[in-house]
Amino acid sequence: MNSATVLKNLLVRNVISEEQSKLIESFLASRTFSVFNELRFILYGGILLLTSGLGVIIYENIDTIGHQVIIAFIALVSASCFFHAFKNRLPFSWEKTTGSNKLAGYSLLLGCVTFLILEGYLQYQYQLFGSKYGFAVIIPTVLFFFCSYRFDHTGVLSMGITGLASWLGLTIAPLSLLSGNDFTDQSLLVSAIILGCCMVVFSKVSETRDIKKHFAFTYLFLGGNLAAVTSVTGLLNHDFKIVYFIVSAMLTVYFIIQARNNQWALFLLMGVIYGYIALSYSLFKIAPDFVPEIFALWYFLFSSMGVLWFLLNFKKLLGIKK
Amino acid sequence: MKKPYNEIWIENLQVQRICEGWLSKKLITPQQNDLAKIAFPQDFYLPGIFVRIGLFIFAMMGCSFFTGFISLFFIKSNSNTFIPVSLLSAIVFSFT
Repeated sequence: MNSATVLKNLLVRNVISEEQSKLIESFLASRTFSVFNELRFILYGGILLLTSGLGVIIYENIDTIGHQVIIAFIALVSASCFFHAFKNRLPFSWEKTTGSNKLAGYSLLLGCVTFLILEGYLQYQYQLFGSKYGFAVIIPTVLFFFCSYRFDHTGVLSMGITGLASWLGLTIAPLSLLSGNDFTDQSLLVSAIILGCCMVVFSKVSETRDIKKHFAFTYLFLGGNLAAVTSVTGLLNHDFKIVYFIVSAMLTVYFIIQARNNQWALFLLMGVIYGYIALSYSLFKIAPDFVPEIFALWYFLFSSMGVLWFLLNFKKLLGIKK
Repeated sequence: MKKPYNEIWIENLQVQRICEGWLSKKLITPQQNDLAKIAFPQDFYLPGIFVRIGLFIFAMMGCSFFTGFISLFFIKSNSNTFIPVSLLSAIVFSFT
């Protein structure tokens, strides 16, 4: 079915008038051919080739270029990006700022990323912070939080949140634990749950108190995922299962309430998946030993059918209109 | 040939999508777009991408556990009966 038949159909049903149909027809016949996607594809390709080529050149000639030159170059890029973002700044407000310069947002993001690269380079090459890793992480975190609120940028905010989480992890866990990739240590889990729950609460506060209302999604998404993943991990691996179960159940319910209130289908999915894992595990854990053999055969089949039914009818069940 | 879905709805969906495109180019007014939606109705279940992901995951789970359940009737210990059963189910699932 092409545009001409659609036009004819609309005309027959009296949706549009005769003159309008002619007008649309002539517009469709004379419109220019859009090459937007092609141009953007070439631009992406160019950026990719440029960065990879630069990377290869630097890698091959590191001994003749020298580290100082590279560090100076990265610092220059970072500083000029921050300068550009600062020059194009808008007055500060607790609301979502409108009419901001798109390029300034990207240059802020690039400035933050190059700042991270600069710091990592200095630490790796010259051990600038020695073994005070927490100190090395908290500097960009503070900078990113400041920049995200001042320049109203959610991308930088999520970088800041990531920095905060890793700073907390570094402060609490001894380094041997992290290098062993053991993320199921109890102290680490509890602190991650507390941080995640704090961020969930903060997202609610920022929503109700109008403190950068549009940041609530980022806080809830990152904090909620952190808290839910860690509470499910704790449920699977540690004692005090009832506490972990209550936390994950509360998070699940909260996700679904948020999905209902704000029309965020992502949180519906998160709530359903985390809730399903926690509930199934707990059911099998509390059931007496002989039950699972009979029960497991039917449980997964019918519970997944139940979830499918829920997802097909969630609008009716949660009372979402349209 | 009888089809498992309503063909008129599919055509109406296409009309609605083209009308949305024209609306964004301001060729028709929002009122006309609403009129078109009433004149060419469709009632497919079209949820967002995240709900679709959830449906996919849990449908896969339900299907695989159903396959496992069916295979219990055919499977003999120390044999490869599971392979034909799973292949058969894969074919059946891909057609449904």
